[in-house]
Amino acid sequence: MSLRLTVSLYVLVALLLIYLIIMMRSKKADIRYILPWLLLDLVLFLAVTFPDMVGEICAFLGIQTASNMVFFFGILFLLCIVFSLTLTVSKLNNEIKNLAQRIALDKTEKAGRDKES
Amino acid sequence: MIFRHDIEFDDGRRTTEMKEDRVRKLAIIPAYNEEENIINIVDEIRRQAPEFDFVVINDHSRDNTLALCREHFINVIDLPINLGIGGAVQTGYKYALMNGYDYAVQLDGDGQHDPVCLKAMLDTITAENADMVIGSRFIEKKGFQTSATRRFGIRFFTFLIKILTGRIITDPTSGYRMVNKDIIEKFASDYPRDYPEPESVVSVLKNGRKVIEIPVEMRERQGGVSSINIKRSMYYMIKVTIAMIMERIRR
Repeated sequence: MSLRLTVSLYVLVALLLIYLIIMMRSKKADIRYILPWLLLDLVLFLAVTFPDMVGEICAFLGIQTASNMVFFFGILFLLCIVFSLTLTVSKLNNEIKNLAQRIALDKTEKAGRDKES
Repeated sequence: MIFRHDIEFDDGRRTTEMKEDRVRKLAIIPAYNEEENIINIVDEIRRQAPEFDFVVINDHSRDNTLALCREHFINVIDLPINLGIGGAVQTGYKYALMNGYDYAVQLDGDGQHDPVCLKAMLDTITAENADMVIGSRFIEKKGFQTSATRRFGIRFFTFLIKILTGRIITDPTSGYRMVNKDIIEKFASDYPRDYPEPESVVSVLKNGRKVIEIPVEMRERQGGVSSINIKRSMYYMIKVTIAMIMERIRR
């Protein structure tokens, strides 16, 4: 890898880390959901620092080129994150539905009791 | 303390009333599936520390916890969804704030926290004018000392807190803690959702507040099942460590 590419990638890793920390610090994002992105940043850092390791994993898995491997694992990783978010959204949606129903029922029950007294 | 309060109305009428200058204290009891323990705990509090009000936070239990509380006319807040220990306890702090309590203490619904220590905690927090008093298992090392793996994790958090705040807290994961009005207000608006104890201690310490530990003896969980396991523990260790660092570099 050229020196220019290496330095740019390190800058990218650093900026991503700073951005993630700012998001966690200001509580704009839940640490729970930031963790996969921190992991991604770590993997990126390792790949830039040990480029030979990338080549070896490539050969071991029987993948033709490093860029193919990066795309493959990158997409796989993003798919996992997206799917886990899908599950989270479904769960949240259900909880909101339950809360809405509960509030409405409580209001009705209270109105009924107030009427009686 | 009861004292006389003399009142004079605008029209010249005078009267006297007896007012009680009571320090109001609340025990917050988070409970998830604690049908085996909850009645016993409440009875113990009524016996050992009758001057404490208490409220059970039913974290959407799947068992009979809520029904038992209602049958025995126990003051209970029924959460419509399961929030976890952080959300449940924070509900208690919101309740404490709403009702103007001076001190709030967290007391787990599984029987590990002995209500006999409540008086000592209250005496400490008032005498020392502290913001938070934590009941630590590891000062005198008496009573239930929890598993070796957990103790290792706890020592790690003690070490981390020392680095982040300079303070030594021997039992940072102890849920047995009493706080004053300032911290009630703080926790009511800002409290972590899962594994909240170490992170909240850092949050209190970083603002230079007074945190004191006193020795307590904890008991083994009296009945029911704990909600922690190995895989979750690993995830929590990482998550809580990051959260504690974030908390330190915030505001």
